[in-house]
Amino acid sequence: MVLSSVISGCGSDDIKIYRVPKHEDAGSPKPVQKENGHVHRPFDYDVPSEWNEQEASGMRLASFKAGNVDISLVRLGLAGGDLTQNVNRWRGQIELSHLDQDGVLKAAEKISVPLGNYYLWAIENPEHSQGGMLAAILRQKDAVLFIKAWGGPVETLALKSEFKEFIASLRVHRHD
Amino acid sequence: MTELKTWVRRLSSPSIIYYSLFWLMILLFWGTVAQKDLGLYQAQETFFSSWVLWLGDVVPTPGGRLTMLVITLNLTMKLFFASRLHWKGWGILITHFGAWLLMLGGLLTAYFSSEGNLVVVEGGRSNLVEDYHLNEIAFIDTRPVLENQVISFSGKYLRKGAELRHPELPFEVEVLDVMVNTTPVKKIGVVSEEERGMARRFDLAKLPRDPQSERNRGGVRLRISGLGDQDGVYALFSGMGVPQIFNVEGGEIEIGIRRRTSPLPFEVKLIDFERQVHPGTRMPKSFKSEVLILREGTKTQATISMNKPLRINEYTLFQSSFSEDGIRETSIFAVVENHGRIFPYISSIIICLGIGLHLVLQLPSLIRRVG
Repeated sequence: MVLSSVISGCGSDDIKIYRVPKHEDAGSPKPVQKENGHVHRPFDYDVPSEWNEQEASGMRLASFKAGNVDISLVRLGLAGGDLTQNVNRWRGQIELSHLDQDGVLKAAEKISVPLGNYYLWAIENPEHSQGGMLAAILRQKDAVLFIKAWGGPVETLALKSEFKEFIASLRVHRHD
Repeated sequence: MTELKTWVRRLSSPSIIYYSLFWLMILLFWGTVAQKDLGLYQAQETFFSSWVLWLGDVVPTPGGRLTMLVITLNLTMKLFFASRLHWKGWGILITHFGAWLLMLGGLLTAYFSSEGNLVVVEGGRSNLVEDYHLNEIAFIDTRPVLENQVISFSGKYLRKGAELRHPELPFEVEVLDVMVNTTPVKKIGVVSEEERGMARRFDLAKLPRDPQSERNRGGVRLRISGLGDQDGVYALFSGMGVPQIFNVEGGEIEIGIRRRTSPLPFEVKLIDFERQVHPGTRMPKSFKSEVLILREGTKTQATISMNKPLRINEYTLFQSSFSEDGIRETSIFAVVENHGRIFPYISSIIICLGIGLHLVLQLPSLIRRVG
């Protein structure tokens, strides 16, 4: 009887209700995916004059075009924040060989902005028509921001200073 | 009465335990070999934590759990109803009691233990433990002023056709499809009128189950009803960067599929994380975390290092891993909750005492026989 009551009672925590302090989420507002599929961004920023803002969709919080260069702002959970894996994935996209962890860190610039510290990589493959990439990873408390510009090698790398200014302008959106 | 005695005699028969132990050995061998293809967790679930083990989906055979139950019942009948209370049998009696206690501890561990990760960023704090393997569907109600209310449905609801209802939820959810491992792929073709949110732009592609279960990314398609123009079919996957949020009266409710998360009765604040590497290499030599345990208004400082876990009641916190990216450090603790933790120690002592006593009691007749 004891055995059967233990076994039958073990499913009692199939539905759990508990409360967590709101401070768990403090300082890291989440993007909101509304029912129509559009994303409402949790950040404000200054858009460089040459950039045209596009409709953000899917995983993107913001999307821009500067000539033929595509610029995106994406926010993922911490699990997606491995530097080496991400940099090598990007390098693979423009047909460059992989780097080891030291190589990835050596190739990066470490920059501080109001939102936090970030790593920036300028990746170039002159032999590839889309072989230019500026990629930044900014780690927050519970998420990682990916800011990426991708296009032809010359025009993409020419955007470096604007790209850095854009990241420096990122700030948490305030609801008034 | 005679019939009852007959049943007791049958159920306490030593042949039951002999055959059961033989079957357990087969399961042990088979499960160990199967680990190569199934992975550790799935092999454990299939062979040792199951009631029935299906051979080729056709022939049912006793799973590890059913076999253990048979052994426990056999031992119980023998111990409490069929033991001779003669002083010469005390050693055997005590040994049987130790083994019975061991089975009882196993039962508690099987049903009331859990393992997971507690991830704490340096300077931050948390009491939420994520299971290594199990998923859940969680509704996070942000309407309460000071705290968020979480209503989570265990993996038992992650099956096609399951209905998720709760008095505190102002809408109903029907599970349309479940993926053990998935990846979002850009949608090709016509978008259904019913589809909302991410489902309008992405499909969830089914991937084969990864033998390392922690690598699997669960996915689910749900139908939401009761929210007017927000009603429709939604797709969710573990680790989605953009959570799905619904507007409800008085605020918002977020919904997601994630690892089964349970709150600890205390919070862990990470004061400092320290890592030492072997000279001239990047290979970790040791790492430790200085933590503050916050519980009911009290604060206790403690150190958790690689070989020094922290025990708090039925919880044990091991320094499991860490991550650092040059910007901030994060400590990862393995948290084991085991209400039957003490049983193997006590049982082993009792079994040793029982066997020792049996040898001592048998010694005179042994000497006589040798003489």
